[in-house]
Amino acid sequence: MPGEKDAFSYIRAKIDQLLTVMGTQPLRPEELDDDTLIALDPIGIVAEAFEQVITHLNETNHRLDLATGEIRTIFDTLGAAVVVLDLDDRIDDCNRHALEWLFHGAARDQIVGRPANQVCDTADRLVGIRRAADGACHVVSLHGHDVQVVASRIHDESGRHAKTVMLFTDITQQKETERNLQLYAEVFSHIGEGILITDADNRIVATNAAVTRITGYSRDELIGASPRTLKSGLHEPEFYEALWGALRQSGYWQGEILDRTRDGRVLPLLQTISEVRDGEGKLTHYIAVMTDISSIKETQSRLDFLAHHDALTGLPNRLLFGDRLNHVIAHAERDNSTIALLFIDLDRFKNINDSLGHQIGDQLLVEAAQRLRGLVRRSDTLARLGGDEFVVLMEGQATSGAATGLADKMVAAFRQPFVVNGVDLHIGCSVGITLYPDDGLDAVTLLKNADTAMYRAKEAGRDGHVRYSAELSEAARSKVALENALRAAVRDGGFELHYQPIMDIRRGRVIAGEALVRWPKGPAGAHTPDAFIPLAEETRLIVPLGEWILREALASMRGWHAAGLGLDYVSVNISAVQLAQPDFPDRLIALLRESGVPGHQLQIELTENVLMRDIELCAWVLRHLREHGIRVAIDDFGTGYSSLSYLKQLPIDILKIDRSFVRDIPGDANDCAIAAAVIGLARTLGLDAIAEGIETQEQQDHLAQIGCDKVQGYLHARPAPAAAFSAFVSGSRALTSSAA
Amino acid sequence: MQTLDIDIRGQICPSCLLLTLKELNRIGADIRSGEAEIVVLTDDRQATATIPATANRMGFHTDVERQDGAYRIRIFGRT
Repeated sequence: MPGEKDAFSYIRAKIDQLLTVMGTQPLRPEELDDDTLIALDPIGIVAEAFEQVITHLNETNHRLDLATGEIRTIFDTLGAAVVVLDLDDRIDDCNRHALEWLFHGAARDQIVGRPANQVCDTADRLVGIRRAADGACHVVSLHGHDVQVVASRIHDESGRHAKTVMLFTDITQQKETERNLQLYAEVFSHIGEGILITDADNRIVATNAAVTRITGYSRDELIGASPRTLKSGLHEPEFYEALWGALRQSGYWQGEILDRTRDGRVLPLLQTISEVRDGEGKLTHYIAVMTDISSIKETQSRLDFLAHHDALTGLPNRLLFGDRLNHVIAHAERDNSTIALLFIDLDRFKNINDSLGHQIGDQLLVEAAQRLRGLVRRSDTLARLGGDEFVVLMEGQATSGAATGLADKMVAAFRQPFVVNGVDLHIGCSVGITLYPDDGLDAVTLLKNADTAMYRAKEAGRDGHVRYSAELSEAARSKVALENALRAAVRDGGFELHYQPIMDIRRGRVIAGEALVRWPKGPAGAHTPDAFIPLAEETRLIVPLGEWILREALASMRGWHAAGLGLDYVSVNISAVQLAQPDFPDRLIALLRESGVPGHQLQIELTENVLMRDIELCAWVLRHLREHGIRVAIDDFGTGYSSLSYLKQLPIDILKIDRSFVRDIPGDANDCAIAAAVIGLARTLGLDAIAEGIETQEQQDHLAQIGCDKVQGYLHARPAPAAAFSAFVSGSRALTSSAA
Repeated sequence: MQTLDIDIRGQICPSCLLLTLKELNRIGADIRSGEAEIVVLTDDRQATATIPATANRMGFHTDVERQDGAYRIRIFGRT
């Protein structure tokens, strides 16, 4: 058993051991005797202190555990990936996002402690960034995402670089937003429309380059200013009130606004103003988009001008003239004033246009417009209605005298030739005049009647003027009525053919019949060809009518032949319009074939004038017809102008001496001489001559005496329907046979 | 707040530490709850290291300042 001294030594040694653990000095025996030692109870003190140390340690550990868990949770729920690399590029730690993004969703314990290049296919990049580890941001593309990486060093207690923490943030969305913003910024600066943004207090906060280009104000001058800077002062306050009203009500306004540029010009702008509100509906900005529409406005007024003016002469066109006329009539109605309207048509313009070309024609129109412009007063309106038609409107108590005076001046002025491209062009003009209120109370009537009067001037030989009268209108109306009746008759077969015998007086027999068309149910005075053929030609109704006549005549000829009448041919008159049809010869030959009548039993009659109008065409047609045996006679010979040399070249069989030369035979020596000359000419050319309009035996005897033995006229027979003609031919044959 | 002043000038470690620990054991709970604090006055330079180190391990806060050629060590609970 140890002694007391040993026991104290042991206690002192253990106390010193405890004190050393506490980090302090051992007890020195000279300071503390054994009794005091026991009384002080250092073991008890230290033990009790240790209890507190341990309690504190436990609490601290507990808190540390909580904190670690908390940090781990934060670490894992962080919207970024975190990887901690040690200096050997081993994964020291990583969070959940890192496992997903960088380590293909592996478990943490499969990753931690492994070299980065074994567990991550982008390790090279990770390691590169770790080495830099300067806290700077790097943007890398990982699996198609834009990722921002920040690497930071962790130092140990001695300040040495121990680890590197790398924070990966997916900034794809942010980059996308950035790119969009960039795009919007580009649009903002490059768009042609001006964009001006103000804050809720209507102070300008942003403008683009187009605003500067449009208004002339620099960006710096506008920022902070009010949009009122651009005010033109041309709008009433109500305009702006309406604008703000619309903005308040619908958050939107669009319209045209006149603003003023920096250099004082007034500018028409098309503006769209929209409110911008934040998420809570609070007004934050106004955005105004402005388009400079000054050029559109110019184009609009240019288009307006073009729509109302003739492009060639620059004169008002029909549209504008119509407006003007209506306006002036309304005025005249109120003021009881008079208006004169002159309708001017250039004579022979079509000929010049057709023969010299449209360019010359156009130039001539410009010159004509210029000449007219020089004649009218400033207060008169000169317009071109189209083609070669011009019209002058005289306002303010225009009298008939003033109108005819002006028309006289025009006609006189147009007698002077126009010089176009160095060529003298003689045209002349015809003018029709109407007066308001005498000749019409509305624009349409006044124009129509002036047109009618102008046509009357043309019919009266052109180069003059005619004042409208009711009779003119009546004539025009009856012409229209006649045309309608004619059209119906052609359609419904309202015509008949009559035939007049052509006699051979030497042999005393009928050798042929001339077909003459009749319109028995035609309007009064229009039964004979003279009355309706000119209109049929004008309206080209002569083409179907002529075809009907040919078919009918050929059918009659076939009938007579079958009846054994022994006629040489049937003769049919052909109009110039028919002859000019390109398919005329083919149609005629087809009709011939259809009828079964031989070509030499058909004769066509053409007047000299028809023949001479287009000699080349006639020659071609006639030769073509001659190939089929068709005969050709020249009608009314002596009344027109024939070129004898052509006569010789054409395949002609007969010259028909016009009735005007026959009428006064044998009394009139001149007529006798002419008849004799024609007969002589025919004989020289190897042709037959037929005298038309024989009414007396004396006429016939004289003609026979001078060598014409073929005649036609009332002396023998009037034209009669086919059956009567047939009977006449039979009768005359019987007579001839019995006489023989 | 109760302040317990311990004047242990003239004493050296480990006595300084043991005397302070003895008081800490006694009123530690009050100090922790912020109702009391101990201010030790010592002229032993070593005590300015050992007392704060031990008190800190026990979970107390300390600060040390010089006062009239001695050191004033304050031991307290909540900061």
